[in-house]
Amino acid sequence: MTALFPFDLPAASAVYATLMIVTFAIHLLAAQFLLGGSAYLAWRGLVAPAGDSVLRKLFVDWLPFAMGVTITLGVAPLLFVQILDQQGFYTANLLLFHRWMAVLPVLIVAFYLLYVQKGSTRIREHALFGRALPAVVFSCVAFVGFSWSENHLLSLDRGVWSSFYASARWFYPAPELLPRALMMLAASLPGLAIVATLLLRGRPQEERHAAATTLRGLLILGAVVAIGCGLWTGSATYREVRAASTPWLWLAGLGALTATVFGALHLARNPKLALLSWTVSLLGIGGAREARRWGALPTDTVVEHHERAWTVGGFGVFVFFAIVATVALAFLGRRVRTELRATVK
Amino acid sequence: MGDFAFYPIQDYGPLMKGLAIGGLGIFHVFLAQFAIGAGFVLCLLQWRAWKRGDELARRFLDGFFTVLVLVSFVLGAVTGVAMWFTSIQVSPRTIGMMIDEFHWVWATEWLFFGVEVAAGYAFYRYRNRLTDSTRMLLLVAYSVAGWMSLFWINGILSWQLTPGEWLLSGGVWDGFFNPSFWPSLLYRTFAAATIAALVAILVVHVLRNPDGGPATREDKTRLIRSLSILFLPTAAMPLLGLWYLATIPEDSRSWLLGGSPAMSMFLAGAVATSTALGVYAVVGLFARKLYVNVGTAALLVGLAFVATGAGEFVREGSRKPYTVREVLFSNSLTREDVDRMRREGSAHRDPYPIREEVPDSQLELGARVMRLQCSVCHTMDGANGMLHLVGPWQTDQMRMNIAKLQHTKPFMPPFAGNAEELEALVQYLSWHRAGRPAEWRAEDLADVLVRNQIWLDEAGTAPGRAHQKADGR
Repeated sequence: MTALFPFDLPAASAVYATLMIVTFAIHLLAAQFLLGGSAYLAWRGLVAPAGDSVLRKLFVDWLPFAMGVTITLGVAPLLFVQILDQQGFYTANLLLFHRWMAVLPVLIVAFYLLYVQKGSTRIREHALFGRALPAVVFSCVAFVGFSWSENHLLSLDRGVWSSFYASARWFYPAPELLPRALMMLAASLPGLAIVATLLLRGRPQEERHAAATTLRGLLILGAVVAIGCGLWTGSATYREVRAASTPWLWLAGLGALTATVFGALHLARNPKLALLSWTVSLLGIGGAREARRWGALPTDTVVEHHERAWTVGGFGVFVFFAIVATVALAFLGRRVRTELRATVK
Repeated sequence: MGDFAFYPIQDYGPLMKGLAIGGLGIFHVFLAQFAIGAGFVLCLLQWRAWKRGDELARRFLDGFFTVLVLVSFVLGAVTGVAMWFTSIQVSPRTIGMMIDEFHWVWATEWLFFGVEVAAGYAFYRYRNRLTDSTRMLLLVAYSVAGWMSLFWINGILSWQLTPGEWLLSGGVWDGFFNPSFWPSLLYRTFAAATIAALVAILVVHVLRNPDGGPATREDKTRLIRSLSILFLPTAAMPLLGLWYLATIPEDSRSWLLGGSPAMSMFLAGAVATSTALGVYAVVGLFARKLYVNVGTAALLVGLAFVATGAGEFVREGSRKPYTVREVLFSNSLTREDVDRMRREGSAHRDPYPIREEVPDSQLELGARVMRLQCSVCHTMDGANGMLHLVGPWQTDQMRMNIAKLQHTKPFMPPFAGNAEELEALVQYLSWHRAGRPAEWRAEDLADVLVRNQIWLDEAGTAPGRAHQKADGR
């Protein structure tokens, strides 16, 4: 029996691909909160600019930190992609040139505006700024996510690199880009709903109750649309790597379905089950994504590169400090939680 | 040419690629060093608030300064990623080699950055609801994690100039704990403390009283005095600078000490501003406890930025003609690449076309050679422009000077191509110099190529300074 991808790869490639899948899934959860939260605020800004609902307050409060966390968590997959497919990633970066580099000022603008939004009730309730500011933030966040998808697809499509360079274009409108972007946007809603429910846990009963129906609705709507878009893109694009990607696509679909069922039944009471299922779904997305990448790579060259990279050393130190950092964060988190509970009492 | 990866190199027009990475790098280093040094400032103030009941320190800590730290570490993170992306745009092979050799070190640095962000944000968000001991714990975690991220990245950056034993062993720790690791780490640590303390002194001037009015001069003076202890290590920076200079390669040192006028000027600028700043900080602020008004504080922060910028320029520039000493030349070619390209040619297998309209295939080859070998540091007619540099040279002189490039200018890498490619580059530059006419007739090639080959053989492929030493010149 053939092992599941990436465990059927040579050891070094399997390690890097596994780390990529895991770290990407974690990053994706944070990114979903950021994208979904900014989409919710933009929508609220348009339809009901006045007044702070529980969710609006929650997202305005947490999104600036979520952006920092998303960027920080994105560094790990950014690192591993440079081992997995250095040439592809660098080439896509270079081909998209200024358009790609634009994600950086756009991130800074979004970060600044998130703090403006958080810091001033007057601006939030202003007739124009109250609508425009969340819309601009959402556009910035969506642009960054869209650019990453574009970059990723261009990195896979090695056959177009030379003609793309000759044309000096800055956009790569791959046919799957739009359904893929729609899937990512829809999939951000369940992630948002689950994380938001967890963040609301310390809040008064009436606040949690007020938000519960909306969150459950967002979760179900997002999951259904994401599964639909996933089927749309997946049926066409994963055909060539069916054997490697099928188990991961199943995992993604089943995880999403289970999260939807748990969410529909008792999201507010026990969000951890939905979180667990959703994390499985994100791992599925990550696995399918890497299986597809692997199908596009010049295997001999990259396997040799991975094996050479694996021999350089330092993995033991990384594991040691990963344990130290986890223990430190757990200790600090527990201590802060204990004191916060004491002040609430 | 087996596994040589060609990349689609972009044209920045009149802007030199180094300007992009240099400008961003200085901004990032200043922000990152501020965020690291701010950890020391925060710990110092929290200690005073906790152990000495200093409410002024607590007010300052909990107020604007904490927000500034938060903003700086998020902007530090964004500009850090920006450095990564810009490095890819400028020199993908260099950043690729750094990743290949040190990805676990980078991953370890990321862990500490994660702790820094979590501890910093927990303090920012919950500081008013926590006990003093927990506040201190969070700030110590923030500070240690911030400094550790410097520790890890410093090993990678200093390896680029002084790879030390790594050249023989290839071992990651031989490269990491390289000859300039410790002086560089200590220097950056003290610089971080100084920058953060200076920014804090500037921020003191926006401190408000509990009633909302501006803080009194006495309060400001007291805070400035509390912060001035962070300037004390500045006194050791000249010695650390000398230690650093002693560890770098002889030829790099010679660029800084007169060999390259531009780099010597930048070094002089960095030394002058750092000295002025250091003397004022140690003598004026620490020893004599002077008060600093807002204008002077802003000027001191500005000086620190200038000193950081000049220092980073010197550090980057002193690596010439390498980006990784002894391994990767400034144009991202290895010694092995140069040897092979001398035999097989460099650019004819480049799959990316030339976008510029050129009259013939020789000029097209010349454009490819320019793109592959020169464009990372040079533009055609803008910053560090080729036309300005070769302007006074006659065609034959240009052939010989480029063939023997590493001897013409020892901070340049050797030309990496065969006689035809050398000629193609010379013709391409001459065509541009002539105003890009619609038709271009090259000289009779046979004699020229023989002469080019002789010059290339005479030059060899070893870097210039090493060649001169071998010849006893």
